Amino acid sequence: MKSMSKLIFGLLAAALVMGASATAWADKVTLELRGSSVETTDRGYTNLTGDSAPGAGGLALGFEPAFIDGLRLTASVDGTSLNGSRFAGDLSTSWEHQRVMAGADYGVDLFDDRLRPLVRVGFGYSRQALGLTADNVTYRDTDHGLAAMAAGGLEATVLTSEADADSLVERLSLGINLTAGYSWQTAANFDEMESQDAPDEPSDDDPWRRGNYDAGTVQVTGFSLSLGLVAGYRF
Amino acid sequence: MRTLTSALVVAAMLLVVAGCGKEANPGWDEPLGPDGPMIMEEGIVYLDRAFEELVVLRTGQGAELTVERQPTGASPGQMVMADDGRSLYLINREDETLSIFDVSASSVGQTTVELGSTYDTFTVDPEGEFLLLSHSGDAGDYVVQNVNELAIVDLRGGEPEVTISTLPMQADRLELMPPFEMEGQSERLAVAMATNEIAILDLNAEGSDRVRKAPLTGSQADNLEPTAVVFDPPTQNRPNRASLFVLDNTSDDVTQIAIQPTLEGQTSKFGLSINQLAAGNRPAEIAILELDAGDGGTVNRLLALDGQSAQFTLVDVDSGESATFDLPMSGAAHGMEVYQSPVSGEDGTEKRVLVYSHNSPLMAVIRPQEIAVGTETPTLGQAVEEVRLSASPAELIMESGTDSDRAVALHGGGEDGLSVINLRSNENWWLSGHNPSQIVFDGTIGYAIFGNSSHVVRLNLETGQPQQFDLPDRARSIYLSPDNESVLVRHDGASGRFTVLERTAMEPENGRLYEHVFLGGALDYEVFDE
Repeated sequence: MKSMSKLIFGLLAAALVMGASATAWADKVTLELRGSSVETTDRGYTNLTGDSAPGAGGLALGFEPAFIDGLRLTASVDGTSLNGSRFAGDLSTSWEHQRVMAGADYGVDLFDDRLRPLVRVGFGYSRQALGLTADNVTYRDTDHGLAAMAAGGLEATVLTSEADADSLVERLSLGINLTAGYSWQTAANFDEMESQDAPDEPSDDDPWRRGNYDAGTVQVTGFSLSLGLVAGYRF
Repeated sequence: MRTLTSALVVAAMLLVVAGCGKEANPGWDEPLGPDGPMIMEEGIVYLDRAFEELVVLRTGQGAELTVERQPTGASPGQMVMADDGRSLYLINREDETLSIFDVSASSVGQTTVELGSTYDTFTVDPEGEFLLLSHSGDAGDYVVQNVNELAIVDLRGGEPEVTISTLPMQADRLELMPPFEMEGQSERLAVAMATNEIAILDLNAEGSDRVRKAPLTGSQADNLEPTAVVFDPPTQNRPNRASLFVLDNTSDDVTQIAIQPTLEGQTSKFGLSINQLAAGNRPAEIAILELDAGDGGTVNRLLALDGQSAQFTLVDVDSGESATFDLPMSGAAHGMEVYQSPVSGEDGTEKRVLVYSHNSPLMAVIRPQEIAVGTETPTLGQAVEEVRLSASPAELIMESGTDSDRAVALHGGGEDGLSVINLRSNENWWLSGHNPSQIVFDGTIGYAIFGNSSHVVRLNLETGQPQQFDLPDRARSIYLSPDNESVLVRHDGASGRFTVLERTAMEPENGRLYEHVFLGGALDYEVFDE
């Protein structure tokens, strides 16, 4: 979770900087609180957890440029972590997953901006970390890769905003969106798991070199659903 | 914020879960820890019942350990390794099949044979020609089974062939006799043992001619339980007669079942005749010894260890004459090992028998070649020599092979160490220390591990010199790789913790510790579709 906190903090810091400069070219800025889930096609996650649908929570910062109507450029971060127990408690597992993506929504505002059918694409970086503990010995590995997604959906705005409104409240909007699509990322290869108890180099205290431990791969790819709560501010 | 995010995640997951189609293999819910190991020619192999896979471990140069997983059939049951360590036999209960794994190659090969029944007992042929499968009669997951049914798997051809026979009784135990020739024909027999009777199977015959039943009449007891059977093959002097000698739990006599060819026109190939041979006082163990007859031929003798007193009886199997001799220990002997030993001052070797008792530090070396049954009583030091150990042997380990030079006696009680016995000179030396929990041999070198110790000891059996080496943790078991390069030590732990040491340099810097071995590739294991 530490990694996730760092990413969120980084994104918020970037948002402040970008938000300040966005007033020059953006028509609207949005912040989306997003929950998503993927029905994986790979066996790794299912074996790890007994489940086949990892969920993730995240944030997406969006800017709607004034020069292209209906386009929302986004920077998002999402992630999850879980601790599990397998083999009747003989094996403890811990898994972390984060993605940072740049993306774009394109939608058409209907019914006085209350309904917005949209398509969404994204591309970015993914990170997975795995820890396996058995017989009081923990092995860990981290892998990095690429992530991408494509989805279509609908955004409903409950509270609409008005440009050039005098009050701050009138410039705010609030809505929810639901998208469905495909989420892809490169498989995380946990083929160089390292003992957390072994020194980097053999020493007098522990002269034993460890053999290679290949735990396999986890790929969180498949049909994805996302549910978001979107707050906006129109300049 | 976090609560709201979680609610969004849960909602998204609920939407996705509605369309889920996969679930993890239920093996992930079973405790870790495969069965085994079985020692194969090229390594060791475990059976992971939960995931229905063999886990094959092989060592290589540079303290390497490789792991291969090989799927079995559904619901793997009993498994057994062939004596040569090159084939592994496994019953798949749900499939009612037999898997024969060729574990001699660098990658495991598998042949599956239909059985049509769920057998649970193996009888392995030391010659590797046949495999017998039978029912123990224990309660199992089946509707009905014929407990007298026997599957005979003929492994002599390219493809295994299964034939089913029905025995006249439920066999408590089956044994295959060694190959022999009679009237120029190659023959194989198996013996099925049950209370008060045995059945002889002619493995080269077909149909109802295959099984012959023979009663046990060694004593007047209501129930005679056969405990051992030994085979006396045809000799140059009697080329058309073989015998089975059957020991039971109550008789002073041994039942001899003579097997001879029948006359032409009779349905059975073999005729049986049954005799009783006096074999001392409640014999507990028997062996057939093929000895030099002095005229270039051989003569077979039956050696029987008394179960009640420190004596043994040697029986001339042709004449039935017998003679009983004293052993040097104070109580009845508990076991014997037959071996071949060089004769001092002469060329060639002779057969000898090492006899031991768990209650006496005295062991005996019998030289049956020196004993003339019925005409001469051997004196101590000539035909029977004594070996005095420092303590009673709890277990005797012979060097592999029949031309043994050494035996190791493990002394019980946890603190009594072990004795190495030179079988040429009958001298021995005692290695003090904690009782080894396991010792394995490679020629003149023994490797021992000890119950609660993080050490392995290399013993030079020629000099008696022990060398102690560190292990990263307490050792549970030890194996030698066939490449003469490595020692494989398993430590405690269900996930599979092994240390590989180089035999020529067993210091830690040359070894390697492997952990989570049974979890290798776990994320890639098969999952089940709903």
